[in-house]
Amino acid sequence: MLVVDPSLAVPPFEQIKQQIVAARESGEFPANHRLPPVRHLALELGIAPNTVARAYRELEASGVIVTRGRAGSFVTGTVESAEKAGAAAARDYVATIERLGLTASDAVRLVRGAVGQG
Amino acid sequence: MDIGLFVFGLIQAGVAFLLANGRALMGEETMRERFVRNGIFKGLGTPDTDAPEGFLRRLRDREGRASVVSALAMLPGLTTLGALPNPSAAFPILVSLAFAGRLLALAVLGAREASAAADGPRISRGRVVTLADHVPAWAIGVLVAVQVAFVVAASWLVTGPAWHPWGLFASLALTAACVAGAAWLARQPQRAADATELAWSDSVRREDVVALLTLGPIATMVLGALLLGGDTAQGPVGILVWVNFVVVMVAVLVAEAASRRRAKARLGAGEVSGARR
Repeated sequence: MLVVDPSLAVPPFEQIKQQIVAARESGEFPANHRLPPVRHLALELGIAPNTVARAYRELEASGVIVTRGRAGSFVTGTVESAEKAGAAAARDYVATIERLGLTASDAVRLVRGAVGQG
Repeated sequence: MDIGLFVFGLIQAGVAFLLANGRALMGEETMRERFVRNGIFKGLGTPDTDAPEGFLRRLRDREGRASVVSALAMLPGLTTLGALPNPSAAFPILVSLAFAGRLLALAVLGAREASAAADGPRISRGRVVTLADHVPAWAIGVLVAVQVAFVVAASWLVTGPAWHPWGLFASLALTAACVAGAAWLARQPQRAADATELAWSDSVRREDVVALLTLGPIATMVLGALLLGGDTAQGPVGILVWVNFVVVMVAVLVAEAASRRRAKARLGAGEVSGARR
């Protein structure tokens, strides 16, 4: 959720920047989360499109988001979000191993083999 | 057109207007009952909070303007009175035009509401809402499949000199336009100062999107009633009209119920935090 309050001392573009960074770090905006187009977000927040464009530009310069041409702007992943996604995948893998009746050592051996192939 | 037919037409138009614009005509207290936490007219799948005062004021204004467009949209329908063999057959046309006029006006006004200047804080969910957020794809599929099946079946079963299947096929183009319109409306920016207002805005947007989606099948139903209402060389075909009526109503209810479930799931998941307490 992004909120812009024009009555605050912090400029609106800075408010947007801070909230997108915070949402990325908290996982609210995961990796590859597609942000709204500049004009769309400007209309929703009741601010000028240039203000949103400036926030996006500065976020892109600092590597928080990436713009893929006409596809739009996307949030980049953090180390924490990558670790969270990896942990979720590992849990799924362990569940599959247990369902197949294999042991933990089998699971580790198979992962080592897959890492060796990769 | 004689005076009796004209008065009859005006009565039909008046009833059609009342049917289509119930929300615009309801009193302020009655309307409030639709948008408060424990309101007796509160819709299913709506937020468990009171709607903000500013939101209600904008909604009333939007409904009022849409009702004017709805009345104007019925004018072409009144001109068909003299051309129809049975003047009462104009009623479904008038109702459809009144609904269509109201809906199109609501869609355009709703899409533009975010462009108004803001005094206080404004909120965004930081992503673009799509049609699939409001109505599941399978429900839209059911709605369209039912209509295509009816049009194809009617074109295949009915023949004769008075039969114009192109009218039914034209309704498919209207349905495609309505689906496109609903997708466009779903994507439009919303205006909200906080999470509660955003949840209510979502709820009203969902109603408008579903109504737009159902306009095409309902138009098919009306066209079917007009085109298949009588007998052809092959015998009575009115039964197809009733089959279409029942099937379209079921499809519309399925789409409504599916969208309500989706809205409830989103509120339950706390996507719009603070909307459900």
